[in-house]
Amino acid sequence: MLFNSLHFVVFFLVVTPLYFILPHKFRWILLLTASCYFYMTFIPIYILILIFTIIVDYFAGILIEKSEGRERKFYLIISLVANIGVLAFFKYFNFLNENLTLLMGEFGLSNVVPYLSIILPVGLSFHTFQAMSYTIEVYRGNQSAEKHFGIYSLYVMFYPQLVAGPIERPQNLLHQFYEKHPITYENFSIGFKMILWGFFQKLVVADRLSIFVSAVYQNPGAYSSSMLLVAILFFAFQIYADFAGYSNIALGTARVMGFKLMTNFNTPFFSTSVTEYWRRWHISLNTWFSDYLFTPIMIANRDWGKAAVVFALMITFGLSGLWHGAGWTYIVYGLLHGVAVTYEFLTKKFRKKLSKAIPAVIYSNLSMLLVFIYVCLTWVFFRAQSFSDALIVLKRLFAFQGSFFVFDNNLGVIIYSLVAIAILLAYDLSVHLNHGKSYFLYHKSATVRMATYCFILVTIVLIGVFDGGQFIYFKF
Amino acid sequence: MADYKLILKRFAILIIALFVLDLGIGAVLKHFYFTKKNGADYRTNNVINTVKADVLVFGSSKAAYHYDTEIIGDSLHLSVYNAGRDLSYIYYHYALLEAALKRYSPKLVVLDTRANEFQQFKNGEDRDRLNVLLPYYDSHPEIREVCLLRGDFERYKLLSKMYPYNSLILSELVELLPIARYKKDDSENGYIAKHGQFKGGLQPYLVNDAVDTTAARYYKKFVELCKAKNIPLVVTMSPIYQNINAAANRNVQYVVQVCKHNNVPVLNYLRDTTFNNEGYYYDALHLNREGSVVYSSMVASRLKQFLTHK
Repeated sequence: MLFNSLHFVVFFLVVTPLYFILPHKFRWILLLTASCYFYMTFIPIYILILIFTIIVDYFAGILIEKSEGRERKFYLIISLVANIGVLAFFKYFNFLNENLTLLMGEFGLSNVVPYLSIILPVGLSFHTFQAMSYTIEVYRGNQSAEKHFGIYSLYVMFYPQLVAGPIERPQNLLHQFYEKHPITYENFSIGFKMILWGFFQKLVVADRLSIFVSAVYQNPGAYSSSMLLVAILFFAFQIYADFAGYSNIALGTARVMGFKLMTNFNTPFFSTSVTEYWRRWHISLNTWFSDYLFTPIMIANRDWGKAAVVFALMITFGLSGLWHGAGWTYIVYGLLHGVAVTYEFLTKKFRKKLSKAIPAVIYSNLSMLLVFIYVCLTWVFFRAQSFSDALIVLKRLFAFQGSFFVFDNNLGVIIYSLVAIAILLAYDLSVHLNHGKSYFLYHKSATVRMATYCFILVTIVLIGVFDGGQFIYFKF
Repeated sequence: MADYKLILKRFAILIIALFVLDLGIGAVLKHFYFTKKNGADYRTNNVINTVKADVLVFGSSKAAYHYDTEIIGDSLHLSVYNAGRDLSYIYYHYALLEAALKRYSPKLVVLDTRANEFQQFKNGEDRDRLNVLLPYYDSHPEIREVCLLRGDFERYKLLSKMYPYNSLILSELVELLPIARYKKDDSENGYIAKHGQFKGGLQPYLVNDAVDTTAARYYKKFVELCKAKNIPLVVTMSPIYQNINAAANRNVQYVVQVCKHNNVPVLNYLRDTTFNNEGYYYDALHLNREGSVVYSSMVASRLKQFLTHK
């Protein structure tokens, strides 16, 4: 079930009132049943994968808490192997097999391991990471093991964030299932605003931009430099609006019922460094990598000095790229960001001096622009269908081929897209300048707020792309 | 409980505001849409509501660019209107035919059929394009069935008065410009001449020829509707500059099969040798002005023969 479908609207309108009607002690049953239904609308049989990891992690958590020393570590490893094993099998098996075939081919050998013809379970990377965060936190002693099997299942399966995050931590989410959430105007209002803006991001911006972007990336060799440039810029806004839109709808649907999930995006295109960008983009994933990969690697190699940081950064970003998809393009995407963050780490003092020598307005705006350009170029690897396609895009882009203003039949699509981007940026700017809250959606005047709701809804109806397809991050 | 009441109150205000806006904006957009004097929407409106030409030509952009209404009309001594539209598919042609036949009976219907008429679109682009028919959903019950092919929830979306004009707002805004109100339609009874010459050489034909069953069903319905109303129908396949093996193509085979079954003639010019000339093409799929003149003359003479023997 996609958030951007009337199916979900009906689902939401049934589940939310039921949640408030039911006595508190039965609410978890409703949420778990609703979550199972939500997940099973994709590929029903895949719920067995979830059940498997839930059972393993539930018992692992209890056993970790009860045991000590090496035994404790043993149960953690069992949990991690089960989760990573499932992820590796469904997501990376064919990628590894393909590379093995190539490698063996270099030595004149043939690979007899067959390829698997399986569809990747939706949101697999998200819920396995969330499940792993639970056992790791229990192991670290930051979280007590959850004894209630239903509540633990709900922690992994809570439908607003089941298939594309935010990747929650047990400390933030588990206790909320025990809290009684009364119906409040504040929760409703904030949740509604998030959902509304999320739908705008998805339907008006992301799906609109995807029309042009998909056409170009399907056959990049056929497009001029100017068209490729437009597609590259559009994709940056498309993926941001797509994923942030999903996150907002997820946060909003949870918030209406009183649940506070992690913020996943914080106006990333206003970042003045790539490092800052990663603190504002897909926050739940990046803090996951920071807590469970980067920091442990860095601490383990702390004798190396700065080299330990560089090593940890490159490993973390490489794996972060691989998390997104089983392909070299994703790994390159991750590594390019690793290189940029490493560069910023190593030149921190020099850049600080430079920032003092240049007027602050110029320095920060120029930095913002450079970060945006760099990020856009790295997205080429993320979006291209293959590594060679990514190189075609970049080669043609810098070859300045074709006329600059040849938009042919795409003019209408481009104008709609530019309008959508302008509204998106205006909103983000108001959030950026207004301490994290949109100036219009959170205006003190009820009339201004109401006018903003109407504007957003009317714009969605008039220029939104309905049934535009699934969220990009669902496939991860 | 106070919060509960406040939520309901605010939602009620929002719903009322949206209802009023929907009616108001919908009415304004409807007015501008139906008073257009040029463009594709204007021509669609003509076919559905106004035109009473003797010959109606249906099809996609290939129909719009290939059938010179003046040449065909002069040859047949009949009035001709070209109902072809860019990026339209069999569902659209069928809906237009239904709407036109509700008003009158043309003497001849020509259906230009693409070599990939029944192409399977993974994301349903062909049905998405039916958005251009949504402004007629309320007033033309005969096309509702086709409009609802867009999705399971389409009938509920269409409760909104603004929704039928989704993605049409840009052209509606252009209509607000004074110059647009007086600009005449640049087609000749629906025929659009394309100027320019293709220089890409003979292209490979790469479209998968698997048949979309729904598209095929509507194609059959189109043919059978003409038959049921006793309106002569000719199916044409206009030239392309692509190396297609028409005889082995499943889409083409289906066209031939349906037409044969219903005794409808098929004029297949897909790889006609006359058009093995790059100079006749605007791009690999469309003839330019020169090509369309030659093609229209050839088709006109065949149509004349057909009507004479009828």
